[in-house]
Amino acid sequence: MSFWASLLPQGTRWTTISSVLQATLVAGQWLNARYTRFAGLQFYQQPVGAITVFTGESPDVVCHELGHAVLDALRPELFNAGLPETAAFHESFGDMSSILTALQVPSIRTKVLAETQGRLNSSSRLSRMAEQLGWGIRQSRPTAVDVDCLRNAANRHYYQAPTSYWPGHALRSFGRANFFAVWMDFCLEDANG
Amino acid sequence: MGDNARAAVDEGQARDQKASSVTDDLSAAIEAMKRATHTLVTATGGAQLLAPADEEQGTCAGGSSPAANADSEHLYRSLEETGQLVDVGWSSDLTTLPPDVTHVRLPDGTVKRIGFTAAY
Repeated sequence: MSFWASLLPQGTRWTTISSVLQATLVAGQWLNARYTRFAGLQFYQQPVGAITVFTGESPDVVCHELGHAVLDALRPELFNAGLPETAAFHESFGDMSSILTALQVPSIRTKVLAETQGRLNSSSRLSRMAEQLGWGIRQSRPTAVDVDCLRNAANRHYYQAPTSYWPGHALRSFGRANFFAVWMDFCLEDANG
Repeated sequence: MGDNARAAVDEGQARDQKASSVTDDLSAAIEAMKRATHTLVTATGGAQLLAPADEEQGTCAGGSSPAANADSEHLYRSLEETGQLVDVGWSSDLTTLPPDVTHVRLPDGTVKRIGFTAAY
C-alpha cells in the first residue's frame, strides 16, 4: 500500500461501503481472491494434495486485488461499465499493480536481472504472476492457467476483437502483455542511457 | 433519501403530471414509479450492492453504442454460462452469494457487477 499511497491524489477515498478497506485473509475455501465493494479484499485457502494454498500469502495476488481497489477509488465509473475491454483493463491494472509493487523490492530486482540476464521483457519471476495459485489450479484444470504460473506477462498474445477472445483469460493477458513489454522496453532504454 | 433517489422521484412526479395532462393512460406514470422505486431500493441498500459511486456506472464512452451493447450482451451471456452472473431480488443479500459470482441481474433486467476475482 505504501507504493500506491505515494502516488494517489490527496483525498482519494476507497469506493467500498466501509471507509476503511477491509481485508479478509481466509474468507473460505476457494482457489481465488476477490475485490468487492461490500467486503473489500477477500482471500481464500484450499488444500491441493498435501499442500494448502493460501491466496493471501501471495504478494502477486494481494497486489492484484489491491489494484482493483485502487482503480475503483480513482475511476469508480469503470467498475460497472459492462464492456469486455473495460473489464480487461481493470484486470490488467491489477496485474500492473503486482508487477510495479514487486519492482519496489530490491531483492526482486536483483533476481530478475540475474534470471533474465538483462532481457527484462522475457519470462521471469516478475512476469510469472501468482505461481503457487497457478500451480494449485493447474492440478485440476490444466488448461485454465499458464503452464508456469497463473498468467505470464511475457507472452505472445496480440489484440483480437472481444467476441473472438472471450472468455476472460486472454483479456487479462492482452493488457498485461502490452504494459509489460512497453514498460520493460522503457526500463532497458533508460538503463542503456 | 439520497440525491439520486430524490431526483428519480422528482422525475417520476414530473412524468406523472405530464401524463395526466395529456391522456388518462397511466403507463408513463407507472413506469416512472417503477424507476423511482428501483432507485430508492438501490440507494438505500436494499440489494446491498450499490456502493456510493455505483450510480456513476455506464458513463464510459461508447457504452450505449450498438457495438458496445452487443459486446455487453456477449459478455453477460458468457458470464451466465459460467455461473458468474446470477439473478437476484431487490432485497437479496449479496454477501451470501457464492464468491465466484461477479455479476447480478436485478428483477428489472439490469446487470450490475459486484466484484472482480484474481484467477478467472
